[in-house]
Amino acid sequence: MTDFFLYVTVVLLIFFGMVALIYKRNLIKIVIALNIIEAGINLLFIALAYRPNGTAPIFTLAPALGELKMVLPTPQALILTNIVIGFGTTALMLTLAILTYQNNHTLDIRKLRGVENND
Amino acid sequence: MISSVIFILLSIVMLVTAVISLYFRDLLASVVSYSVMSLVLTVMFFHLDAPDVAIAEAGIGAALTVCIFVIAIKLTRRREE
Amino acid sequence: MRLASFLSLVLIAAFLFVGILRLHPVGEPLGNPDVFKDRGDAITDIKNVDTMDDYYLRNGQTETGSNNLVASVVFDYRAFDTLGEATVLFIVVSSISMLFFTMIKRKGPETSGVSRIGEFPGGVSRVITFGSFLLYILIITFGIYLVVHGHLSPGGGFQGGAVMASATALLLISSLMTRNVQKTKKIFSFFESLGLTLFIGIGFVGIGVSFLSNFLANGNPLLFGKAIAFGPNPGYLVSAGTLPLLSLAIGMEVFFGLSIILVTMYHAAKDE
Repeated sequence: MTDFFLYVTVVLLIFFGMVALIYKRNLIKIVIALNIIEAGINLLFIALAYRPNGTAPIFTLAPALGELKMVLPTPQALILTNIVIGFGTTALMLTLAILTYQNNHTLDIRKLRGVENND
Repeated sequence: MISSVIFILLSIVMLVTAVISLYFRDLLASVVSYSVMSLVLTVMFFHLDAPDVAIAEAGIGAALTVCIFVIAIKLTRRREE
Repeated sequence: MRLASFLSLVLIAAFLFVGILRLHPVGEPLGNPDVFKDRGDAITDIKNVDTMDDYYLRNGQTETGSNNLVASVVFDYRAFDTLGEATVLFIVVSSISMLFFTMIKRKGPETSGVSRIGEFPGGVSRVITFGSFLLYILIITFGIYLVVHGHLSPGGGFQGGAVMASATALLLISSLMTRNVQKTKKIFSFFESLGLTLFIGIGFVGIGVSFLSNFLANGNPLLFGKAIAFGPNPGYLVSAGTLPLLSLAIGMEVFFGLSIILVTMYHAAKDE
């Protein structure tokens, strides 16, 4: 339980992202919030694989086998691909936001929905 | 023990920059703040023994994402109304 | 409405905190900590193996010949997953090009801009353009190093492609790549498709065992077939079988795909 605050950081990042998703109206701000949630999830996976005083899962010039401790490789592989795909989906979301602005001249989701005064 | 202190400091910086990037009305400033958060996340990945992920995050999170966000802000508007 | 959103936030927070209380503590992941004990010279050895990660840690180096276990998971054990990711990236690039098509068409053909080496475009300081050009060479070299040494040191197709794509962004912001954007995009999309096709083709070559099986590792004397004994070593470039080839294909696909995204969005944002 020594490094429990890593999980707290993850939860707070996801929570801030959720707050922005619910209360913010700007489309680009919503994309930033989704990116922050994604950063929190990436950090969660890497923290799940962590071993204190370990080495990265690479045998090149690693310490001798007696005291060798390695972090788990599979979560790192998953997150590695997720980062690249996250960039692709971010670019797609931004493209849709740009096209929305070109067609409607606004980025406010409540104006896009036609709601005058929301409560 | 030392690594715990490093993790605490990096976590605090990450949370502060995340809140700033969600709080600012100026979208350009919030994107720059998101980039700082991404860079701190890179350092955190490196200290969590994940150099592969750190390289990918440094290239994509801190450089390319900011590029496309800036282009999107240029094509729309800078202030959040 | 306001009450509903507030209640849903409280619910999300409660779920998240209950969730992290049920996770295992940081620093004590599942699996056997003594996974490397009593490891002989056998190719596959499942003693001391409790979980899937233990299997990869104990047998990944000898089975695939790759020192970097993350690369061995990405390009060997879970290469089919990687094929799915590459396809997602390909589809994203295609949709972005398609969505921006009318917007770019409205701007008319690209005429201005000078991009020959040694002749710097106007409007941007000569220091910026020349410095960017020098940095471009260094970044591309580093990216190729990352791709080629993916099975020995931190790196691989995804990271090297991302690093090289940031070099493309550098070229764009220093206006060194402003002439003939349409032609550039055609060349880039050809190489992106070539990368994905290479990946699938290498997968089909090994179909005697299974799709994307590592048929070159451990024994093929000609191409990347050096057998690796278990344990730390200085790293041998000619090991790991099809893994460097798949890494090269993914590196091509990621670099040219991300570059197409950047060039398309830059072209749409450029005002004439």
